[in-house]
Amino acid sequence: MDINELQQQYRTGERTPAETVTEVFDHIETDETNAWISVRPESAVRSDAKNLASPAEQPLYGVPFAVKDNIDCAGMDTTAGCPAYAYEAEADATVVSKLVDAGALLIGKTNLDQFASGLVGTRTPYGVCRNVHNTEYISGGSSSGSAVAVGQGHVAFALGTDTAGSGRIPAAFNGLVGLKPTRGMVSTTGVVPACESLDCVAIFAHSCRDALRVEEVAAGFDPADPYSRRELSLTTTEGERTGSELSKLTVGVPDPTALEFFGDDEAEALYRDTVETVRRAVGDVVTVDFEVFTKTAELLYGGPWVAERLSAVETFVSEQPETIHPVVREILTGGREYSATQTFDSLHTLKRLKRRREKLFATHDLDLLATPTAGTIYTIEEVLEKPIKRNSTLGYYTDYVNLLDLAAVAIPTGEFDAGPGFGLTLLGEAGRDRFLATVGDKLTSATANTGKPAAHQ
Amino acid sequence: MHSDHTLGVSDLLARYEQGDTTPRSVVNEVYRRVSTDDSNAWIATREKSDVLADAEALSSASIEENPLYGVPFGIKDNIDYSELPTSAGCPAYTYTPDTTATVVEKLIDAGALLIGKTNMDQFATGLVGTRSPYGICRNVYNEEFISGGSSSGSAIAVASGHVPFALGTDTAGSGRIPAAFNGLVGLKPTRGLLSNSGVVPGCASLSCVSVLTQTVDDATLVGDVAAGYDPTDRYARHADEVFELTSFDAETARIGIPKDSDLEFYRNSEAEGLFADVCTEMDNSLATVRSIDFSVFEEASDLLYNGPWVAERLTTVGDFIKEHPDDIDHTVRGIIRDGEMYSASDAFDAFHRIEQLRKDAATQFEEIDALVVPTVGTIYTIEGEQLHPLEINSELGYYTNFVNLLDLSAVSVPTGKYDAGPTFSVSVIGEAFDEARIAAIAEKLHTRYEP
Repeated sequence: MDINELQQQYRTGERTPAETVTEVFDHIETDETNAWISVRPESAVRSDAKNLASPAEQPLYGVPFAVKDNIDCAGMDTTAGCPAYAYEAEADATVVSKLVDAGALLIGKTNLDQFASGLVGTRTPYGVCRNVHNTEYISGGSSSGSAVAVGQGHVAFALGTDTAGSGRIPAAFNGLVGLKPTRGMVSTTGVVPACESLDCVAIFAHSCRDALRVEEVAAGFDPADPYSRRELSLTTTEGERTGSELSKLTVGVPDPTALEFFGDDEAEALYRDTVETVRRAVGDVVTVDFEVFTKTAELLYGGPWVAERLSAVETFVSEQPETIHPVVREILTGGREYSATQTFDSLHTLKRLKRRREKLFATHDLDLLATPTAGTIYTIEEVLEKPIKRNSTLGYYTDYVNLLDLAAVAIPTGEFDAGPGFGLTLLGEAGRDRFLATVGDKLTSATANTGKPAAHQ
Repeated sequence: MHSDHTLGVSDLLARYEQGDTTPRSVVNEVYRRVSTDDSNAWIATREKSDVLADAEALSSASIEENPLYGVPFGIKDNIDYSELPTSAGCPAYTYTPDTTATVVEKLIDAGALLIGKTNMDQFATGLVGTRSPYGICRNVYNEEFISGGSSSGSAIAVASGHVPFALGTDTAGSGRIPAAFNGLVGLKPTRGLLSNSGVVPGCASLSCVSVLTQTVDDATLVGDVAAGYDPTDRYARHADEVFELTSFDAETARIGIPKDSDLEFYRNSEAEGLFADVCTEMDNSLATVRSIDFSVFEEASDLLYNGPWVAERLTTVGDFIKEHPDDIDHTVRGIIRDGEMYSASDAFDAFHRIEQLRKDAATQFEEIDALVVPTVGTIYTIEGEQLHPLEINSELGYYTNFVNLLDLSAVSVPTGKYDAGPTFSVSVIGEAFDEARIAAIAEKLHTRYEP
């Protein structure tokens, strides 16, 4: 289910929003992937569909979407993946109300790794999420349900959140685009924080163009969100490269010694194919020193930011520890070890790393950086066997992104023989969301044209 | 610097241009004054012969190409200069730096002549000027009163006419408060504008190098020379020409002042009267004045000392304090060690809160061009300060503590005088990079003040 196509059909009268609603609910009824935590009554969605204005006035007219269950929707429970934590939201999150105002149809709330703490999709009491291409494999997380709901065609797009990769990893494994906007571009008012200073609302869609269209509606300064940024705007296109310039870009990739596939030769081969496509379609590929990124990633989980996770739910963790998923509880309570002084030390270290990152881009004159989204994939059984270690392996290419204030778009570029998707992440400086999505669009077309990595489609 | 005891930067430059004096004779006069001084303003001065050699070297340079040609200056002793030790007000902490701080380098490159290092509240922790083993700094107008701190020596050195300008640092008000009490202009630039490389910070993420001068124009001139993006300072920010004023008329400025119930003068009715005079003046001839809700600013002020930023001080001197607890001023030690109470989770809670307060402050600034507040709501004698150091410190910071946490810029200018001698000042506060605008407003208020 593709936004562009839906809009076309609505305009020509080939389809009505009411028909779409019927289709959506038929699909959901037969779902066996544990994608959803709660779904709105079909009659309520039908009534929303009836009250829509017109495709001309509403850029997301009649487009069904899902929302990760750590984002508020008025009148529905927000669980954050933890039944004991659930509360009924009084108002829509700012981002949800913007989408609804633009004509999008809210269908329901999706499954997640509890408190958005995980990259796997298994840390939930609502049932492990399964990969859409092979149910033995993980969906990836923490926005597992959102990815699966889009991957199965239940909805045209979905919102997730992304602190350390939660929007990108499940997109990669399920063959989708995962857009992780620049921090502060999309409001997080009404979102249960994981690391409040780092969290982003992420967008899952079938194409970069669709994801960008959603972000255009969702973006905007929100004075009620402490981390919203007035200076950022998606409508600014000044200085952006377009057209033929997009085939003369300089793309940085990790130097070979820093590339990690954790013994997965298939992933390595898929990555090499992808880099070839990059070279062919968008320009020069240069290898860059990856140390600044790995050092930053070490800060995220080996430093005080785990305490930021704790600070978001500290009272709840102290009062009802037994209701929390054991792995998530272990992560959250680990935050108690850190002092304010260590926090400031880490912030000072991070500032230095940010400078190094800026310098790296400037030295190589990089337009963007490209890395595997994940270096490998696991079966559900493999993750349950080593839940923390294998989770952290998955974050190798994603953990550092928000700390370094980068924008990211994860795109599908291939498939493992077992079915699940393999993807590339494009990373750019803050505010360059549109540029990254445009490059992503070009790369996905180039991938499709070779017919090779996308052979399973 | 002969007939006029306290000569400003621009005045001195004018004299050089007219050929009325030479850097050499100015340096001789500076050392004459410094050597007869008993104000504890200086911790260390350079050898006079070295400064004379620098002055001599200027003879082949031009005044046009050196915006601070032959202008003597002092720097607070938490700012590095390669030929002198840095003490940060603590003899046991003293080290000899390998290099000179970037800001000092820039001033010297512009022709300024460094004289030496000035006294301060230890580790820049205080707003009083009494917390130093190098002697208490006294107010230049009445020695029973505090000089204000922590950049106490820099204020005294300028106010006593030793040098036309000095650098201080300002985390919670340390640059503005001693300027306010000693009849000076104190510019606290936007964070990241002046490099912090080579500075022992109070709180590394908040501290600013500040400028103390006789006039607003002098402050912006020095600020402009000292500013500039420094890639070696992790908190540096890119900004161009923030000191250049374009199309802004201070006479039509929209000014916000705290509403009556938020004004604090700590039972000092003289200060209250002096602030009322400023408000009347602004109302009559300068601008539109409206009362605003001050609670956002007050809450931010409170977070600075009753929140995790105290722990940030430990990142700079924590190890030293553990190893040398007896070598530290006991009040300073008490304040800094409080930082150990805070957890990482407390820190993040405070970060989130301050981000929201920044947004709220930005909303307030949509309606006003600048906020004008007393720089300090009262003043204290040295005796009074030493009886209640902590309470008084927090009263002193009521109008200054929030400025860096909320990422604002500020200029303090004297607008009146207490009967006992010390000056009363107001701070003109703007958003980040508003330097030119707040300086223009401050200049209007300063011009109307006659010492």
